[in-house]
Amino acid sequence: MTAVLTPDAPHAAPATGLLGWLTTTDHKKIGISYMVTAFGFFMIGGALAELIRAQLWSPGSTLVSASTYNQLFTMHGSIMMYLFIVPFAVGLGNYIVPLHIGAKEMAFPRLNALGYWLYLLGGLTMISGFLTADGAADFGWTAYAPLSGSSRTPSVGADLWLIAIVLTGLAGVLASVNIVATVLAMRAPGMSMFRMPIFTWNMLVTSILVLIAFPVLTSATFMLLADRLLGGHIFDPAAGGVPILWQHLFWFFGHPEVYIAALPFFGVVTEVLPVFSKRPVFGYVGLVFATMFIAAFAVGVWAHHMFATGAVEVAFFSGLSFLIAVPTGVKFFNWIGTMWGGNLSFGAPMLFALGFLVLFLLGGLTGVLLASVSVDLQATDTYFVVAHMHYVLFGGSAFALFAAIYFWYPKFTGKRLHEGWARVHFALMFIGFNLTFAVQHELGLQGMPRRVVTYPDNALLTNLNRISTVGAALLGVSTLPFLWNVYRTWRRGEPAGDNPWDGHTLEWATTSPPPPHNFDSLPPIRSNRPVWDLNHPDHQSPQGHAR
Amino acid sequence: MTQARMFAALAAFSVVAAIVYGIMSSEPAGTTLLLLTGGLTGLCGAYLSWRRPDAGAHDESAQDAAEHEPWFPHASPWPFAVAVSVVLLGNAALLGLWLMLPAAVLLGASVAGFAAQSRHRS
Repeated sequence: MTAVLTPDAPHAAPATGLLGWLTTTDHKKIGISYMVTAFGFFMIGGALAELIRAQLWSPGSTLVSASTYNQLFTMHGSIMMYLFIVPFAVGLGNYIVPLHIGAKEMAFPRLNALGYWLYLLGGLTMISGFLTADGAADFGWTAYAPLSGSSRTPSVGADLWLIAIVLTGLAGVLASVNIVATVLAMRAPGMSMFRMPIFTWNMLVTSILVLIAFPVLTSATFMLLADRLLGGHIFDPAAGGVPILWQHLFWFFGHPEVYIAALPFFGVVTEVLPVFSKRPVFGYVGLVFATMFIAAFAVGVWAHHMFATGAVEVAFFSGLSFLIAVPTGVKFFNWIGTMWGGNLSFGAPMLFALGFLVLFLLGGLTGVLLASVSVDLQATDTYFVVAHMHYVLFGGSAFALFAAIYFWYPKFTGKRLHEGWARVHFALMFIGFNLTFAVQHELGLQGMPRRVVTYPDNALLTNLNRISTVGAALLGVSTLPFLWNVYRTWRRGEPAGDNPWDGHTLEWATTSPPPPHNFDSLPPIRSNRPVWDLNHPDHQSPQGHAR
Repeated sequence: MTQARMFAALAAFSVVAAIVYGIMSSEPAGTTLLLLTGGLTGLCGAYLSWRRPDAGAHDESAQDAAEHEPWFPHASPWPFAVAVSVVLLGNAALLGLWLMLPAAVLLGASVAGFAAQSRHRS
């Protein structure tokens, strides 16, 4: 039986071109806008990183001044965290979640558009700091008080940064309310919670984490703005304020933020691996619960970023930080279980998903090391932490992000990206990434502090830094085959068909790209892979819970 | 019920974590934040156990689904207008307080347009 959805009510032809873009409420167009905008910010943030690495080519280099260097690493981190990785996940969720649950729209289409515009304009506000006389914000993406106070950082760029955090934070909250409401209220008949694709589960849990974490940062930012612009003393120790309060508030946002930047991409990998292994996902319920445990623990580990202050409850935070490794390990077990005995094929999405598995594992292992206070006190604020964090966020999230692009590009455009160029992209990116960041572990253990414009003139440090800079150049170059691939496919790609990968979930049941109302008809939903069931009646999936 | 239970479990975890953390550390900021997290997720859980919008659980007939079809605007200029005015309002603190007045007027007008579009379902 096929549930027939009512066709759209007649309405005036939608505007096209710029006006169409400014007024659209279609979740697919908004999703694509998010992803394209986020990728634009990624290239800006990447260019800043290349400048940082160029400065560190030799000790005592004067390519950029110390003050410019501070702006570079601040804006690199801020752009990547606030304007790239999370907004890209939001865009992907916007596009895919309604398709995954068989809905024709997001629950609040105009709120969705508002979130996108706040994000775009907020992001432009942040980088406009570069156009001011004193340059952009330069207190690190963490904006620690009292460094971020008006006496130590009087620049307008810092105020622009703070206002941008409020605007993009608001955008994130609006997008998350929308995703939660969509998942809770818009599922097609038969699509029970335990039949939802894992990507949609992870977007739901991520959105709940956003609702917990982002308002805390927004409030903290308002408090800092009050100190800077209205003469407040909340973080001013001279007037009885408490600077460490900023760190508590920031990291109560900042640690969940790491999972907000990771969980959607865990979801991507969990969609790609079963399709390219021709098997159902192994341990579906285990993956759902692992996601929830990660989210719960994520709100209880914020002060492991603050061990070096000597003013936090070490046992509580160290213990919970170790515990997070357990649900993450369950996920790894299930990912391997999904591939085990499967009929594997190594298309581009699978390559990037496997890259994710290897690199995120390495980043996760150094994370377990850093959860130990005695190790953390040695390594904190060194390049060891920089390496750890990039293995998690770039080796993890960004590799899975490209897996998502290669996987869903045929759905977005109806055309499939060229496989050969994708392999070139993967090879350059994988080698470049490891060259850049593997050596930074050793740099950190040798005592090189992060966020410092130079380093002692010493053969070991110089050689390691040069390897890292060569790797960063390769990593930058790896984007070129990708951009070329997108361009050439857009111009003259072959039609991909509606379901090029023999996919499992509902987005593959509609046309590529989907019509404005998403589905002309839905297949029956009796498991977590309805499209597979439809196409392979002899290999039915086990049915999920009916609730 | 799955949804309500999920939020209730997060609420319970946060409250237990708040109590344990509060006793271990006597640090007020984190304890408050954990309690507020428990409140937020508890509120969602309570609402969901009361309203139960378990969309996918009911096998509604196609006709029922059509009757409850929510309204989706096909295009709207108002989200962009609201965003521009909010951004101007934020930047007014830096560009000059004079900007606050036109930004506030624009915000009011665009929120009114937003609401009017919902009422007239255009």
